[in-house]
Amino acid sequence: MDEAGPSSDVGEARPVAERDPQQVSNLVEVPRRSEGPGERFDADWVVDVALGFLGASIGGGLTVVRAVTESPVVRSAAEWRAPFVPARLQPTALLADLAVRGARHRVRVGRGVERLLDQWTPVVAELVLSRLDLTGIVTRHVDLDDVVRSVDIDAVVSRVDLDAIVGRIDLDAAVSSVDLDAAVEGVDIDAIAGRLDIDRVIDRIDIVAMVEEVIAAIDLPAIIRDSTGSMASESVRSARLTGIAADDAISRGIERHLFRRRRAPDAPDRP
Amino acid sequence: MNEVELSLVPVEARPYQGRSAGIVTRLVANTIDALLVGAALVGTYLGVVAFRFVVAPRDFTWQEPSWVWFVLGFFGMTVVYLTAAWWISGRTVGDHVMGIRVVTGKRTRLRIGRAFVRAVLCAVFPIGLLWCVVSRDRRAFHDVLLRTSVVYDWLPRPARSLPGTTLPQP
Repeated sequence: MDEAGPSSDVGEARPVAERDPQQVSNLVEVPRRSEGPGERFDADWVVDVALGFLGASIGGGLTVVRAVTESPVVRSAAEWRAPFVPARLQPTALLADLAVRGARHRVRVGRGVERLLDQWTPVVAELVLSRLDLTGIVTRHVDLDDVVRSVDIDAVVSRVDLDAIVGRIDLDAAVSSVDLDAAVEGVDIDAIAGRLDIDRVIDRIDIVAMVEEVIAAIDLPAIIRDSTGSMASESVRSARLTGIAADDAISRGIERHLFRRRRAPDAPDRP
Repeated sequence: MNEVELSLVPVEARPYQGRSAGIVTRLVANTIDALLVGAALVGTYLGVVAFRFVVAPRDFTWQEPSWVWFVLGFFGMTVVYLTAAWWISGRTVGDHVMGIRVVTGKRTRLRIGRAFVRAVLCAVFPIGLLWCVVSRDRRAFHDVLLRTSVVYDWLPRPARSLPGTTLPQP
């Protein structure tokens, strides 16, 4: 034990004069009164003496209590029934009455203590915690990596409602704050395109089927007719369609006239 | 690629492709063909006259053609024209204008023999065309005899023009 004994178990304790009064203290930096150079006052020794005294007192008390409770004299006295004494004045009855009163007091005191603890514990804890550098304490004394390793992050993530979180995010505002032009300028699109195997992509596309669908959908003949603007082809098309319509009309008329109940198989429905 | 070729047909006419043509369309086509043959006949006559004038202008006299030769010439030219047209492409100029084609019962192009017989029948008995009005398959007299059909086919060239191939079934 040297003179720096009080600070030996708390690491680098600073002198009281250097401490910021606003940062009151933390648990490991509780200031202690500097001891005079001539004082032979060992704190550990005082604590040991106090603990020894306390232990001896508690041990003695327990011994006495045990001796009293286990004493056959006391037990016999508790169970002794005095002759010619009314039952309510018997020692047993008196002790039972005292026990009931004691139990009632104990309950009442217990409730009071609980009430006091409920009222004062938050206040005291707040006062104490406000004077502690909890972050520093945790940083120095807790192996956060070990703690994190013991956490089942997958289970935590699986319980998180990401949709709700994303729904609360204003993505438009977030995106608008991003300089996409600058980001795109930093991307070498040529290099990316150079790594693409375009041939494989094209091989996976059924271009013929796609073109056929497009041609079927856009009425290519109409576009060709419009682009060429051929009056002759338009007239021929009109004459052909007129002929088809006239054929159908005559077929229907002949069929009605001859009372045919069957429909001509070659006459399709009107488009 | 037949679907792509068929798509060249206007949308409103696609349902009719491959179906038998009716009397109106065929009459119009035949009329066009008759006018063409007549024009060719007149042109041939004028050409012969011009040739005679060039060869012997002094002895040239305008001769009215006899009706017998005119009818025979019209008949022969019609037979030759129809045979060649149906054998080569399955359609005459009138058929091409009206978008129809002559095919066999198996929807193939006619061979030259059947094309010739059909041409002769058409030239000799053109009124047989009217039978297609009452025929349930819209077949004319010569179609019934030779088992041929006239179908709508708007494509400029037959999609399956080679012998042994078939056109769309009605």
